[in-house]
Amino acid sequence: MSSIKIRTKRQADSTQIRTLIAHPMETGLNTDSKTKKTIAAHFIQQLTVRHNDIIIVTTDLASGISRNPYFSFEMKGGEPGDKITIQWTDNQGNSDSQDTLIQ
Amino acid sequence: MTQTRRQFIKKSLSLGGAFLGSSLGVLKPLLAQTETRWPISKFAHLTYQTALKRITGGQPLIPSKDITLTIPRIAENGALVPFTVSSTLDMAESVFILVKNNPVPLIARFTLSPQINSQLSARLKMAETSDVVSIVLANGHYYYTDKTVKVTLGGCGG
Repeated sequence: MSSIKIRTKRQADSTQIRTLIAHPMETGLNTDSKTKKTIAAHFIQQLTVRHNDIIIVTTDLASGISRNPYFSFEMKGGEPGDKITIQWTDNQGNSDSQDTLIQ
Repeated sequence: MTQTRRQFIKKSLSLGGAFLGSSLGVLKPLLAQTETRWPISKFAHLTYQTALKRITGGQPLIPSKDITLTIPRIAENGALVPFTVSSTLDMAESVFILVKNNPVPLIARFTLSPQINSQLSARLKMAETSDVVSIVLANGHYYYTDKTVKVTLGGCGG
């Protein structure tokens, strides 16, 4: 299952894009309460949003973003059937991507 | 030709140095590439002032009423502080979010295409009570607005 959920909502002359990503976003500063070991940093570094394969937002993130990150953007225009793609890469080399069509 | 151990070590060291130098030369463009990919130097454990300098390159910050930062005044849980930045500035290219007292002050950089209205929201972590600063880069100038958020429970404690 994809780690990315995307919701789009068309408004008068814009489209709201909301996304929720399942990710631990570990800072690398916390310690495990049981083993007393430092938990390795694990966070999303880059997130890109594409509209019909054209990049509209690139985001560089740090571990200061909360666990299971939520983002919302507002795009000008947007027609039903347009494709929105969201893709992320984290500091451990994992990545995921998800498409959705504007309703 | 006989070679003493000392000479041998000297030679191999200088050779190694030369190798290191050349490999650094090869590495440099690679590093420059990662810089544009994910600006690690900006996301390091820095003081707020240093982080700011690395973002703006020493350019002054201009306070602006055209940026609205919506964030709770008191956050019960520092691990989850929702915020919204919206601006009416023309040609906004990037939006930066910083938390002054966090170990890594820079939270995120959003690079926006002209197709995006300058309004975005996300959720951030706060270690302690701090000023939250949102900076908008528009027309080559850095505009900012800030708000103090009181945190009753830190977000980075183990």
